[in-house]
Amino acid sequence: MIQVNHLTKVYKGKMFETKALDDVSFSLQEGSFVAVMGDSGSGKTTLLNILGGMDSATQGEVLFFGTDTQKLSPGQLDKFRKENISFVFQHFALIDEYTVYENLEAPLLARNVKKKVRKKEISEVLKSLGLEDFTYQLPDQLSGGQRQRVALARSILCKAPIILADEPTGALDEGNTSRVMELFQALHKEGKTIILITHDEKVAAYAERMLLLRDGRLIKQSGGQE
Amino acid sequence: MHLWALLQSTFLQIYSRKKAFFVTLLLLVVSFLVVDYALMILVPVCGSKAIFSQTLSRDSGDIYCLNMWKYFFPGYYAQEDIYSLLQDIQGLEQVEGAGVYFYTNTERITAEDSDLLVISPELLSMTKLRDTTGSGIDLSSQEGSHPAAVGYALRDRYPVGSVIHDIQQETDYVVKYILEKDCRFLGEDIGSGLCASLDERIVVGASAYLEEYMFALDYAISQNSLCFFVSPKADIAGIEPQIYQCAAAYGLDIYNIKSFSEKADMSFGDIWQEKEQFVMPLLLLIMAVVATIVSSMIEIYTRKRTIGILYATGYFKKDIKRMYIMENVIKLGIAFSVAIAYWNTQRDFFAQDSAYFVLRQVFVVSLALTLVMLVVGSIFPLRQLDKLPVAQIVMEESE
Ligand SMILES: Nc1ncnc2c1ncn2[C@@H]1O[C@H](COP(=O)(O)OP(=O)(O)OP(=O)(O)O)[C@@H](O)[C@H]1O
Ligand SMILES: [Mg+2]
Repeated sequence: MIQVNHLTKVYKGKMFETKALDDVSFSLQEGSFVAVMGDSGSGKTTLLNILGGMDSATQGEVLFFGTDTQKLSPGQLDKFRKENISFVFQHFALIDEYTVYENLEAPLLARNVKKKVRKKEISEVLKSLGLEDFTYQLPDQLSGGQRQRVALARSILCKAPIILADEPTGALDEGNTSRVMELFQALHKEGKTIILITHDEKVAAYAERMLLLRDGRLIKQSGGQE
Repeated sequence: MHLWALLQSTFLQIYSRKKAFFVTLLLLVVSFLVVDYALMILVPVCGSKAIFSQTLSRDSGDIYCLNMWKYFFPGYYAQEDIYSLLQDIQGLEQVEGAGVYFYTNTERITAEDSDLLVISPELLSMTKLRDTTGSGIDLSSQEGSHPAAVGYALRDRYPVGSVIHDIQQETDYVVKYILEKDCRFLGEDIGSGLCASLDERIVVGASAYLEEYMFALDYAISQNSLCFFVSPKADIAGIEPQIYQCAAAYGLDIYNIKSFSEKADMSFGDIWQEKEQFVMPLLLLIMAVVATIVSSMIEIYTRKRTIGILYATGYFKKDIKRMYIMENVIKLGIAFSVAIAYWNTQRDFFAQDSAYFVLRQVFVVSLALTLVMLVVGSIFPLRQLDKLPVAQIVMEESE
């Protein structure tokens, strides 16, 4: 259960202030698949960063199962993030010097997974995403779609219940977009909570709920029970 | 994260940037080779001041030593030149015992593990060696008989009157003295061969030895071990220029221990007066330290993105910092070991025994230096990492 109450984020510049989020409130069930939409500059990324504990709110609460992440110490927040959240980025955020295998090894090493288990889990996830031929390639030897699937594989290996994705299909063509979105849908079926930013109506259609932001305000919610 | 997982992550980091790693490692290895060499020069120079000024029983105003530090490559000690120089000096009036040397070096005489130490009888009189009976020790040869003094631990194997045969020299030594327990040439142990216990050694006089013992000189030519002295009655002011002139003819450098030991009551300013001896090694030292720090700081900048990604996949800042420290430990550890191992193989360039002591000192100082470099080389980059807005970097990835 994620509950966002009166979330406001103000960026204070030297000359003027930007209200990136303005009194946003909503709640999500565990396991829901939400698309966040809105024009450029409407505050989508800001919202996602605050949800993911990468940025702090100016006002309001973000409750995950009753815990307000805004009140956690930096150390607690790091721990919370590690256990609960994985990220997928528009530009994949793969480590260029690491092979696909090594990129996937990173989240497992961070979680003290043993070598044998790492090997097994990585080969399983690569197989299920149809990437086994690229195991020892470097990211720049892969296409955008393949890279995003690797990034998705990595976020799967984080084994976090919540996946936050900021325009994961923003750099992909139509074919790759649908492939990646099918994967998101499969993860959703497995019970992951997915919050995904997109500009694309077709992408949003994969989600069961939609939040629409404009100038930092939540102006429309559709789908879902709440 | 567990240590093992951190170590594997560190190796992954190193492996993924193996070229950059190799280049910095190379830089470090070269720096350490040079630094250790610099230390091999500095340590004995400092050490010998202490030795001569503190422990010689006799006024050392008339002892001269060859200054070895100038010969940058240890193999290049121009042994023949040195031998000729000593003969020239011997030719000078009022100079006694040129070519005698405070001998810290050893030569095996039997298959057994006893070492033979050769020392000039004149220099011997200046030391604090004592016989178990309390009598003074005289090792000068008489009527073709060469006396020897054996260490306390060897008293049963070589009792007084027994004969020790030197296979290489075809010489017999007759044991005349048993040294007191834990006897040393010089008093307190300041980490020099001259201060090592003589319990398991056999000491013989150089006078018998030198006549035909050319190769002894090879060994004599170790740092600070080659000395000769001028008679106390001599007009030192008059003879000194001649000595320097002889040395200059061979391009060798000689210094007077007294002027040296006067400087040994040293303030830092005094040491600095000797700066031509210290400047080069010190500069090299500083350069190496700076190179380490700068290279690890640059690495934080060039790896900003990687750090952000690792953070987003579940590494804590704390983990990333530890990985940095581990990487530095690995790098410095390799550089330290390679340099020490290399100089250890070059031991033959120095005389065996003193090389061991010099190397041991260099090892300790170099280890301390490595630790300092590790701390200093980590403080700045880690503080930099502390300030690095990782969350910001991760957020930029989504743009
Ligand atoms: N670090 C920052 N400092 C100051 N202002 C910021 C910062 N980050 C975002 N903003 C401002 O906050 C507002 C919302 O930005 P945000 O990045 O959330 O928009 P977005 O909906 O993700 O846009 P896009 O679709 O272009 O990615 C914008 O006006 C932006 O200029
Ligand atoms: Mg955005």
